[in-house]
Amino acid sequence: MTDLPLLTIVVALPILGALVALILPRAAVWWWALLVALLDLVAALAIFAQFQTGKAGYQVAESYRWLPEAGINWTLGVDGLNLFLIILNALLAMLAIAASQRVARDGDRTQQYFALMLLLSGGMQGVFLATNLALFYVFWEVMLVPAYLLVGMYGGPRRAYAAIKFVLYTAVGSLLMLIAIIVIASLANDRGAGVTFDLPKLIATGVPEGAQLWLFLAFAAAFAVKAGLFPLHSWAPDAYSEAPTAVVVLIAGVMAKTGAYGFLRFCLPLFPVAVKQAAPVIGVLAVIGILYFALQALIADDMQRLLAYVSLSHMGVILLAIFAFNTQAYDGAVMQMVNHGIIIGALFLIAGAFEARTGSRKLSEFGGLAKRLPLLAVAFMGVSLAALGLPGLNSFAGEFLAFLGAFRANLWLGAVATLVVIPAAWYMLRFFQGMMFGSDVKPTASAATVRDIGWLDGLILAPLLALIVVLGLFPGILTARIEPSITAPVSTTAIQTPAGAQITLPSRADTLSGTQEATR
Amino acid sequence: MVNLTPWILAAPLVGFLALGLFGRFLPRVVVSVIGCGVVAVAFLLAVWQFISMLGVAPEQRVSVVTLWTWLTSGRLDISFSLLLDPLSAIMLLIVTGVGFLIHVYSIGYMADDPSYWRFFSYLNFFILAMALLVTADNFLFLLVGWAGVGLASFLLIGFWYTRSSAVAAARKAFVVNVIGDFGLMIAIFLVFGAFGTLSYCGVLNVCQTQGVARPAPSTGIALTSIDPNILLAIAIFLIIAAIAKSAQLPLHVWLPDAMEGPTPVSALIHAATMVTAGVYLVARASAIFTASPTAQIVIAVIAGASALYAAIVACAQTDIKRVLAYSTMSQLAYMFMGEAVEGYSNGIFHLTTHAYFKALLFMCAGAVIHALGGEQDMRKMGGLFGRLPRTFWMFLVGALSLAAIFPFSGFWSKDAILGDVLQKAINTGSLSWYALYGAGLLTAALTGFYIFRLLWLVFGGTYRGGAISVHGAGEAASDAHSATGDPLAQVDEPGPSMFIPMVILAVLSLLGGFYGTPWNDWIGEFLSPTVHSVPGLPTSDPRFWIADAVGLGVAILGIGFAWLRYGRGQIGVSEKEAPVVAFVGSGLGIDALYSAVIVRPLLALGRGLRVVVEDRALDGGTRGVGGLFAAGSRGVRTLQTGYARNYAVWIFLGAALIVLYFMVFPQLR
Amino acid sequence: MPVSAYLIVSALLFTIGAVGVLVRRNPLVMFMSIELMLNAVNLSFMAFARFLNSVEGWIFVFLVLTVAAAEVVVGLAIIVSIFRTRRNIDVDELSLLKG
Repeated sequence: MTDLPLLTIVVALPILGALVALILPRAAVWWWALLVALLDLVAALAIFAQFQTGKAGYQVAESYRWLPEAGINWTLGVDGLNLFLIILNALLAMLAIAASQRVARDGDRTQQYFALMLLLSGGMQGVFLATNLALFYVFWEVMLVPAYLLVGMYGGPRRAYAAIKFVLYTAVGSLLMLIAIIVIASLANDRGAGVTFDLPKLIATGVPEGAQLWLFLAFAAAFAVKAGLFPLHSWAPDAYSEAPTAVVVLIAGVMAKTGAYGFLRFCLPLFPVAVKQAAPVIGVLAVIGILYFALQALIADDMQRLLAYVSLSHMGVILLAIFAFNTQAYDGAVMQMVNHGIIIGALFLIAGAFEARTGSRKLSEFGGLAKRLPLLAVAFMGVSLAALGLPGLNSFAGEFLAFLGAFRANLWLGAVATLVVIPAAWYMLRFFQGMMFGSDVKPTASAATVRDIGWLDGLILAPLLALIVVLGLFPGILTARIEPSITAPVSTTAIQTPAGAQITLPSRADTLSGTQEATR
Repeated sequence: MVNLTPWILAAPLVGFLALGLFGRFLPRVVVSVIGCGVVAVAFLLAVWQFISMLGVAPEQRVSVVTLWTWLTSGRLDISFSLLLDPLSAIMLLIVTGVGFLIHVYSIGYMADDPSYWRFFSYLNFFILAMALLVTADNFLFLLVGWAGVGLASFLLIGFWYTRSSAVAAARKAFVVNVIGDFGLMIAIFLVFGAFGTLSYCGVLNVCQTQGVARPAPSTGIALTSIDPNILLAIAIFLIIAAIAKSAQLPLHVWLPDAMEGPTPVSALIHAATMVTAGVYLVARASAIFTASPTAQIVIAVIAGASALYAAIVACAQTDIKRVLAYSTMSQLAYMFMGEAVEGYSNGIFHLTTHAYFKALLFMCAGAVIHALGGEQDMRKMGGLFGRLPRTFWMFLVGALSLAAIFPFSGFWSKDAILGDVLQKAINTGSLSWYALYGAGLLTAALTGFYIFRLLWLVFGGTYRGGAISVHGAGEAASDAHSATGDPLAQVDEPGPSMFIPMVILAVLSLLGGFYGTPWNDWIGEFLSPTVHSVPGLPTSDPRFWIADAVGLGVAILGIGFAWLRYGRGQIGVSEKEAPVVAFVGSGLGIDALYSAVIVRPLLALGRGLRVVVEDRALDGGTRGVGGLFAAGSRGVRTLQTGYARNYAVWIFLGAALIVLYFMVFPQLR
Repeated sequence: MPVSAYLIVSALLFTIGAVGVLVRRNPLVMFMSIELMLNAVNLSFMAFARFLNSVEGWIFVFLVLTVAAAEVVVGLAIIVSIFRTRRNIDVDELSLLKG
């Protein structure tokens, strides 16, 4: 097992599977896509199985020469930061494909749909695993194109508008990032590192302090758009509400995390000075976003738009934690990436189930469904409670750590951000109760034949619900593997910042403990 | 000493899971047996460990069981571990004991409900969450239990989920409780920042108790080395958490609405679980509150205001359960009063006696409501003494205990608290503490008034309602009515499953005070290893006797006024009073105020931002940028004439320019 | 003969070709004009190769000839197919690419 190039398999399997899907007959393509996604999940879990707790650095790494003269190589690595993200990606891809059965049965361009889904998933696996900046950029684009096509081809009535907006926002960001990547490599070349895009080498070489802020901003343009930092989020509500729910599961559940992940993986170690300078601004924007999105979720009537704001609000917590620079915050941020993926994926799947059953997405057209859909009501309630951060379910531990870290970094930002638990409870209950409880089924829903969830929906939701409970009871599963890796960027940030006095958010001493070797 | 807390948690967990997963397939008898059985098991275990605790020396009465390490992150190290100490032992007895009686009562009360199994599964979950809350060994699992209790109340208040009023009430309860969760979270953050740990052992020093005597909380604890401002901040946020859970001003708004739930739920929320959590929290964190006098003043102000407010509002209620709801708020305020003057053990003492008589009162109210086919409006009751004599006697015991009449349990606990307050006032000589004492006395008088108003409205006078149809037999009832001319023909006393718990609670209400009399403050002694309390007025002091007499006197005065006003048949409200009564009955308009000042402006702000920020600024901005590019390309595309020869001209011009450039700057060659 | 003579002829040929491309509307004639320009360049290449006694100029001439041959093949094919479909090969009428 250990001889297999697992990382390469995790990335390449969906991409090659996508090519095959194009030539398969329509009847077989759903099964094929499901099989590929399942194998990808198995490969990701195999990596998890050989991953050791308490060890820093890339525990599994693979490197193949590609364009060595240009410093571009097929270099992949797994550490605590991305381990759970690739599993999450594989899992959600499988569930999203499983939930797309309707497309398989009576949709147009079925083969292309599943090929694009697999390609999207494969691209994101590459984004998470690449440790070569150029390779990372390639995967970044591989991820964007299928997402764009999926929104634009299979979406709702305003899909063209949503897709173009999505492309404009993300393309501007990623072009700026491309320029920054080239500049970083050339700066490293000037400093004698040779022609290389290799991330560890570039971190070891360091980026001149004078150049950091601009380069950071170029990276941040790409990442902040993806993660939906206020006010760069405008694409998200449109894309989330126009795209088919199965696609949103991947976009909101996984793709949004690539932004947060990018900050952690690239920005923090590469631009330690700049992130400190930018931290207050990003912190304030994140807090504004957290509360603002919660408020928008409170008044939204369209289910998917509501969930889009829920997702953005949660992403704000992650961003706030990333820029808090202490162990609890980093732990919380990475945990929340995973937990939020699980929860928002489940929420969109449930919203999709409602839409499939009733043909409506308007909250005001639902009510009293719990009597007819008792099983779905239970699942929906579990996920809703997890989404509002109920202690004992998965989201709580991450959210708690994120808020705690933010609070330690900046009292006021942390406290104000924590306030969001109140509107969060409000909007989730408004959503859940509005759908499930109340006097009677309203016209739209009663017109359709409303069935409770069948075996397929049950199978799709079961793993997510199980994770919600298990990770709520044993969040140590996550932190034990995340923490050794996240102390690395912390210490890098702390060590390379001699002028600690001018920094507004000093790292605490505990983040420095014994992480000298972890920076390797 | 045995520590059985994991098993006490496991029992209701098993019940919750079994009923939640398979309850729908089980017959009602099995559901009842499982639902009540697991709580009975939990209660017996709690009794067992309580007895074993009594068998060891007081300084050995603390033990911690660690189940697993929940989370580590940097310095933060949180285990799922359970603490057994005198405080949690007493709380467990109350939670499981009174909880068990309420379970048994529910067998009769909910007998006709189609979702019988669901009800019992929720009840078990409630017990589980509350037991976790009181046995948690650290603030984080306190928060888990804290939120679990909130969830359980949400589920049970909204149990009849097709009623939109119940759904709204459930949501309100949950959201207001989340405000408390927020307070607790901030407090936890501050505790972690100050102490570097969240366990009670590290923060509150409950694990190293030395000696039988009440240890000063500052000995051996790092509390003194903490900045008092931080301690104050911790205390303030703990207070926010406590008042949200315990329904004190200004976060009490969920409690009256919570009456939308079935009556056993109200009993559970008001007596055994939920609202007592705030009182427990303050007692648990007594070390912090003792070290922060300002926080004590804050509690005192909130408690005094809440006690009076709730007692006044209770006087103007027409719904039988809402009277009791406001009464709970008022009684909880007594407990906080005691805690404000460091009489923590008396706060817990009143918590226990209140659990008996308030559960009893709710059960009686439930019996009345059940008998009248769901009627809750007291204006449509009256004259039920003849029909429900057993219920009446039970109710009378509860009412006398609530009104703190000698020798009922409420008398001992409430006068212990008032004695503590008076002692504090005497010690400090400060008028404001005397004012708190005055508020307590006034509330005592109002308590006597409103509970006996209720008694006379329900049981006294003549029946004022219409025909009663019980068990959905509408036609039969009206037939019976026309046949006998008696609208109450079908009204009947509660069955044994409802009545036996009432009897047990009545006995407890009568006798429960004897473990906390001024001569033998057993409960204070028992709690002293972990909960530090200052002693109240000694019995040797003549002022003690005066205070007790005054306390008893005002209560009787209140009862007397109730008799004057309602005991002789007039129940109506004069036209001049009507608007005032309506205003008071609505809770002094606080609900409307919140709606007008917070809820609606917030939603309006959201809508405004959606238009201004989302649509105009951001969406419009995006479209503006797009438009800019479109305009630019419209300009540039006129160059694309389509004539090949035009392009050739451009090529030649370009070539010429390049040549020209090198002629002008020859050195660049 | 001095190099300048060759260059003058080359320049004249190039100008004739350029003007031809610009003013004529028949693609065949424009083609011939382009050939004229290419050969003008070839001429100057040859002249300089002879003058500098270097072989590179020769190589470039061969390169240009090859490219010109390929270009003629493709170009004529396009012209023929356009003529087949439109019965008209006036370049000013072929303005579908107008923006």
